[in-house]
Amino acid sequence: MAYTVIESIAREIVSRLEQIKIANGYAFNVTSVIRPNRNATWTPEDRLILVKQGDSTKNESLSCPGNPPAMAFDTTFELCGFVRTSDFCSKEYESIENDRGAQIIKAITTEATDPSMWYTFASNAIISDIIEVRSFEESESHNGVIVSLSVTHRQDENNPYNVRA
Amino acid sequence: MPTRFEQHLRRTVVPNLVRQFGESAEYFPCNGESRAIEVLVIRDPLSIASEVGEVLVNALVVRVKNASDGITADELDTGGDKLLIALRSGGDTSLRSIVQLLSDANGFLRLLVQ
Repeated sequence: MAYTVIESIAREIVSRLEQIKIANGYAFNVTSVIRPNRNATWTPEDRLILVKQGDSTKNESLSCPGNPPAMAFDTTFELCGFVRTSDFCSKEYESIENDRGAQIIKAITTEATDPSMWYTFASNAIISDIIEVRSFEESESHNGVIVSLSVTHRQDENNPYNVRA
Repeated sequence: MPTRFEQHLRRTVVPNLVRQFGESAEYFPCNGESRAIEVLVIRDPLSIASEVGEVLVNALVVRVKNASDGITADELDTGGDKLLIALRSGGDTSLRSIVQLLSDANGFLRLLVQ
């Protein structure tokens, strides 16, 4: 099945985050990496990463004319790492969040085939950037860290499945 | 020191409520063996996890006896304990996290399960 350019990028992000395992040189084993669904079948748990895709806004300066024209978009992904430590754990959760955020960044910037080109997400994006790392806290006592990732990608105006370099 | 009213509730009302209106669930403490328990469940509609970008999450409010044949308050660990419970009454069960102790009174623990 063919995926749109942005869906290919999202799948690559999930795939990289799923590599967070002690056996792969990371500090913890990720419980699961999920994307939201309509029935909300996920359950919040420690070491879970939620991948939330934001809006895609047109990037005029990187769009270019042609036949068909190439349209560039900036899309933000929020990678939410949940920290749900034991009620009996005395370690500061911000310390754990710092570590989880670092491991998420490490996973995202690690491409197995070409480490120097992590920002293309398997040749689907032009450039990517970590734009923010912040902690979150909810009333249900969820804590965690959100790594915001901006991805700029370009595609045919009339074919969102075709990457334009 | 609990009042006589609280003692009466704990001794007679709680077991009867559980017997009459309870449903089966399985409690999975993060450190220990799982066990079958009886719980009273309020199945709320979907709620919103706003801090992580308005993401939908299921929410159940579960009442359980604060006792060894339910869950004791001092053993509960909202950092990892789970319940095997159905999101819809009579539906398939799935493991859900116990995310918060909402109250502990009169022999009942009231838990938020998501």
